Order: sequence, then C-alpha cells, then structure tokens
Amino acid sequence: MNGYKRSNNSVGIRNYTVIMSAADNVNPLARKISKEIKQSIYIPASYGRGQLGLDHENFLNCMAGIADNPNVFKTILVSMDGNSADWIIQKSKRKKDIYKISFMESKGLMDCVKKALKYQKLIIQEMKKIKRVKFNYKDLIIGLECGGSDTTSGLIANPCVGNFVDDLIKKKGSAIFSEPVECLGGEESLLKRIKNKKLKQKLLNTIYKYQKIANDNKISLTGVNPTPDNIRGGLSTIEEKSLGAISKSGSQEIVDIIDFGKKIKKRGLNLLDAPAAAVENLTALSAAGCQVILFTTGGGNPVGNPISPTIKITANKKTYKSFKDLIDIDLSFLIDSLDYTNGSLKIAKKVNLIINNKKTLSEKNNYLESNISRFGPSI
Amino acid sequence: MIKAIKSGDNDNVATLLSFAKKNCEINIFSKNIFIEKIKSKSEVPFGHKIAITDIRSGSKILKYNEKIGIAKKRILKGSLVHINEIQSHFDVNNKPIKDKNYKIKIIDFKKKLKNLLKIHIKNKEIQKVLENYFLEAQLKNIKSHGIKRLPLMIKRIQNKSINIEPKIKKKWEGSKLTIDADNTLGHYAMILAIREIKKNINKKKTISCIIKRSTHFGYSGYYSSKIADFNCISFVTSNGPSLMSPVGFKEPIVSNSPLSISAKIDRNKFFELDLATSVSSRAKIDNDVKSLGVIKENLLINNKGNPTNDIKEFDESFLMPMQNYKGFGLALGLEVLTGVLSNGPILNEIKHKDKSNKNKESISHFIFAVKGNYKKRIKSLIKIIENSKTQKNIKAQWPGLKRFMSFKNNLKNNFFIIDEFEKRILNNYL
Repeated sequence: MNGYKRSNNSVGIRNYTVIMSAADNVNPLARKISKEIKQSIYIPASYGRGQLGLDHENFLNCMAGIADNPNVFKTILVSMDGNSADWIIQKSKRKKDIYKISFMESKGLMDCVKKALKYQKLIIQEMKKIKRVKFNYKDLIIGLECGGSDTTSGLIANPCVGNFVDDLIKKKGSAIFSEPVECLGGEESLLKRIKNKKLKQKLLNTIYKYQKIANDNKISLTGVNPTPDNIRGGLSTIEEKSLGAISKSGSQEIVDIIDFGKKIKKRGLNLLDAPAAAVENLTALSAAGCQVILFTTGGGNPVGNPISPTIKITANKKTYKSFKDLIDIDLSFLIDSLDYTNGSLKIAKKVNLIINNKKTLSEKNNYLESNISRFGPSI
Repeated sequence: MIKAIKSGDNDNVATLLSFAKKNCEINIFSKNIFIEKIKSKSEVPFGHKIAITDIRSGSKILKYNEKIGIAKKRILKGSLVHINEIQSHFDVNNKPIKDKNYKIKIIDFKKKLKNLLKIHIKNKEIQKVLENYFLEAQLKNIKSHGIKRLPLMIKRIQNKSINIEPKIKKKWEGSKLTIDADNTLGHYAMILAIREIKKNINKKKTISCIIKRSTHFGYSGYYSSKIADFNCISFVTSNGPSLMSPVGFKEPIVSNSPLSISAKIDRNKFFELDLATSVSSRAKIDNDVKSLGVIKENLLINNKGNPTNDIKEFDESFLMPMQNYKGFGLALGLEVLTGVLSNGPILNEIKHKDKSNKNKESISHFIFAVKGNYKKRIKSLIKIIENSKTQKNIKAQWPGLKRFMSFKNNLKNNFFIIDEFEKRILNNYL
C-alpha cells in the first residue's frame, strides 16, 4: 500500500486540496474559489453562525477533523471574520496545513480569489516535493457504514464486511463503526466485546441516548427506525436491524468509543457516536480520520463522502442492477453459499485497489456529499 | 427450490432467499445444511421471515440467536413473521400484550359449548359430563382448567390416547371400590365413581375408591365438592405424567399431583381446599408467557437442575415443588395413595400424554369419602377464620371462598367474561 505522509505522521491515500467554509455565509465565496482551483474539494458549512454550546463545539471539531483527515494535503479555510476560522484552526492538529482567508480583512471578493490562487501556487510547489510512500496496516483506518438496509445487509453484506474487519484488526489496522441507534437491541452482544467497565457503561449511555431522544419527542422508533424501506425489505424491528448492522463490526474487541466530531485515539476497533443518516454519518467518520469507508446498502443508497473514498457494497441483486454505476461491489452471488470468507476477500481486493489510487464509482461520478449533524436549534 | 436460511441455532424464524407463494414448500437451511421442509401458510416475500415452529403469543422471536422482539400473537409454523406479528422492545407504544375480554351470557355459553362437544365427542354421556364440568369451571373462574383445555382434549381423543367408548369395570370389596376406567376421559371415570359413591355412601358411611387406567380429570376440587354435596367430607387426589422434581434433579420424576379436601357449608357453598404440589401449574405459567411474555421467578427448574425464569428454557424446564423438598415429599406420598395402591404405573413410568405417541397415559385417582354430621363444626371453622384479626387491607379468606364468590356473582349477572382464546375455542376455531 502506498500513501502520502502528513505533517502529523498520518498517511493519506488521496492528496486533496480542500476549500472549506467556516460558516454558511461564506459558502458562495468558497464555492467560487473552488471553481478557480482545479481538482480542489469544496466543503460547505451548513450552519456555523448562531450555533450554541455543544452544537457549536461539534461543528468546530468536525470541520477541524475534516481538515486533519490524512487524505487532505492542504486546506484553504474561508471565513467572514478571522475569528470563526481561528476557532476551527485551534481544534486542528495540523495547523500548518491550513491557509486562512478572511473576507472582512480583504479588499473584496476578487481579492479573496487572488489570495486563494496565491496559496494554490504554494500548495502546488509543495505537492511536487512529496512522494507516495509505502505504509502498513498500522496507519490504516477504515470506516463502516450501512444505509437503506434490508435482509441481505444483515444476511450477507454486513457479515462479509465483519469478516474483513476481523482480518484488518488482526493485521493491526483500525476500523470505526457507528450509528449507535442501530445498536439498540444488540447491546448484550456488544457488551461481551468490551473489557473495560467504564467503557461498557459509556456504550449503554451512548446507545440509550438515542432511544431517549426518540421517547422525549414521543416518537416511536418503529416507523422511524426501521425506516419504511427497511420494513419493505423484510426488517421488522430495530433489534433485527441492529443485529444485522452490528455484524459489520466483526467479532473483535471494541477498544474505544469516539464522541461525535472527535478523532480516533486508540488503534483497533472503535465505535463512533453519530446519527445514522448516511451523509451525516459519513462526514463524522471522515472527521474521525478514516481514509476509506465501506458502505453496505440493501435497498440502495448511492452517496459517498468527498474526502474519504466510499466503497459501496450490496448483496441485493435488484439494487445492484438499478445503482450499477454507483455500487462498487456486488455480493449477491453469495446468496446460495453464504461464503463470507469469499465476500471478505473480494472486499479486501477492492480496498487495496482504492488505496492504491483507483477511484471509487462515487468519486468517478462525483456523487459526493458532506454535512455535519446538529442536535439543537440556533439562536 | 425455495430456500430459507436459519441464522442461529436457537432461532424460531428463517429468512426467505426468494419469493414464496402460499402453500409452497420451503426448504430450511442452517449454514448450508438442509434441516426440514415447511409449507408456507401465507405469501412470504424475498428477505422476509417465516416461523419455523409454532410461537406462543408473548414469547421471544429469535434471529441470529438473539431476541428481535416479542410475538404479538400466536404465530403458526409456516406463517409470515413481520411488523404485525413482532413487537419491538423499543417501541414507545410498547404495552404488555393483553387479550381482549368479552362478555358472554350463560345461556349462550351453554349453547355454544353443547354444539362444540357434539361436533367433537361422539359419546353422549361424556358430552353431558363435560358440559357440566366446563360450565362450573368457567363460573368459578378456574381459567387454567376451563375450556382452554378443550383443544388438547379433543386432539387426544382424535389420536385415541383417550378412549371414549370404554368398557368400564367396577368391583366392591367391603367399603373399597375399585374401578378400571379403560383409558376413558378422567372426568367421565370420576363422575361414574361419584355416582357409585352416591348410591352406597348412606349404607357404607366410609368409601375408599381407587380408579386405575384413567386419564387427566381437570381440577380435583370439582369432584371432592360433588361428593361433599352428599354431606360427606371428601378427599381426592391423582397422579399424572412426571412434571416435577426438586432443585438439583436434572429431570422431572413425579407429577405435580393435585389434592383436594371438601366439606359442604350450604347450598352450592363448599369448603374447597384444592392444591397442587408444585408452586404453580404449567397452565398458569403458560398463560403468563402468553399474556405478559414473562415467567416469574422460582416456578421452574431447568434441565441442569437450577431454578430458571428464562423463556428460552421454558420448553425444557420442569416444575418446582412447593417448598422444594416438602412439596416433592407430599407428591411422593400421594403417589403411594394412587399408583402404588392401584397397582398401576408410578412416577416416570407414566408416559407423557401429548407429542402424539400412542401410549395410553394410564394414571390413577384416589377418592376417600366419610359421611358425617359435621355442618355445625365446619361453619364454626369458617366463622373463626372470618372473624380473626388481620391487617387493615387483608381480608381473612378460607379455601373455596374465591370460587364461591365468582360462582355466585356470575350466576347473578347471568353472564361472565371470556378472553380472545376462549372465544375462538367456543366458535370452533380450534
């Protein structure tokens, strides 16, 4: 495996320049800049102003996490006032790799674009200096996500990913699975995989938090989760969906639970606290430091993350046919044999290709989106 | 070939790998190993689940060896299991599932019961005996031994483990009456014995009656009180298939034998002590599982010899004796009065009744009746109990009071309450 070594010793598999908005009021400016700079990636802010307390903290952590993702070479951070950019930079562990543009401290729109192009020249010069280097599994972090789950997810796709993850962890690699709401009903099997007592309690708190949110809003999780498409696919309860979803995390020990917006601390298998909705979840996984994300889908969910190449996997033949130009791996042929080892080998092959610079279908077709979750109102 | 996959060894559902129409043969596989063929009772779409055993209402639905919810209703083997059948634990609308209740007039109940018995039981005399028995069981609100038992009874008549055309032999030796019931219905054998006792009790004053080669007779208080009605004090007991052992035993060896003692207080009013030697009856626990989805603690022992309240172990577990070794001892004592005295099968020599084997159950009953003028004394006994000092919200009760009160109230109202399951039985949806 080859990758790009970063200033904090992490290794990226892509070499992106990111144009990031510090708040939604500079999205048009950042968009304009990203159009001027070839092959840059535009990360807009959905909010960023008037957010309070934990929500604001989450936003800053997440934005800094995206800028720090190993796949990002440099970030040009666009803000209205210098402060809002500084808040993000303070959270970053790669402060040197972020260039700041403040609208208020410039002489108008075109001046901002000019500044950005100046930074771009610097970035290109530095880019010439770095070479792809060999790296091993110790530096690899793979995110795990599932969306539009149906029976084939729990029966084939997720267990195959689980097998792959078991292999990865044995080779000293790391994986992050998420969506604690989809652990509801599977707590017991997860608790068995945690050694530390405090971590066990944290697991339960993290999982039940989402049930409490649902109950406080007088929402029955039936109808919301499993979603109507889950139910059409044959999943009857959140417990059933959870047990299928959990199987993608394999069977190894869970070493840590990462708070929303935070980065991975311990190598090995981690659980990330983030809502289940695909775009938000992918964004949180990317901010946590994943270089690649494996995304299993049953009924079909086409979206990928712009920073962390997202490998789409399905075991539903129908879905593969209708999303052919966005789904990377078809496992539906396993329906008779249920040979998970075969499935995990197929996944490993594809991961290797993607790491070594082959594009995923969502990258090729630019079906990419990011968005940061919010939990409260803005004022 | 239509395939369905069973994901865990303990699962009671399997997932369809293709679409199945109604009445299709579905091949159940577990890890690529063929297990059995099941006929679909309804259409089952690809990826949906089918029940691979009958599932009780209120019991766990297991997939991947884990609980994915609770059965909202009874689910038959071969039918679709989806949102209408499973209740999630995390549903806010999650309430204990309770059967609906229906009022039924006593006249209507009698009519329906009569028709039902006519359809399923040919012997007219047995029809009549059961009519009276079930009416009284319902009026006295003894649900666990009421018409809920009828489907099993009919099944056993159909598979001939109960003989409804018996040649019954009786033999008197002094005041000892021996009856060979020829494997007829226990209720019928008991009523024949009671008729015989009625004829002879004035002359003999004391009668011991041993009934051998009989079958289950319902609740024993029914019979002891019938005899008490002849101004007797009576004792009734029976043995049965082994269902019980104390903690430490890995298998059940004795039945949770019933024992009842009755004495007449007034018209239709009896002192009626009616016990089983287990903490609770299988029927009551089964009812709790169905209506609440739970088993209370200290009622069951698993096949490792330990107390359990795990629904998963329900089918493999047996009953805990009351007061553990004391209840076990009492049951063994009653076994001496029945199986030993009748020279019939004892303990686990008695074959299990259902599971469609053709072995006759062949259990023994024992009745003891003493004629006497005891009415004053039994009334004093009741009075002392009723007048004794108790805590504020505790009412002193005597054996038979509850049954007497429901009997009286139901007769006065002219109707009583039945649940969904009883209603279905009455309407012949067996």
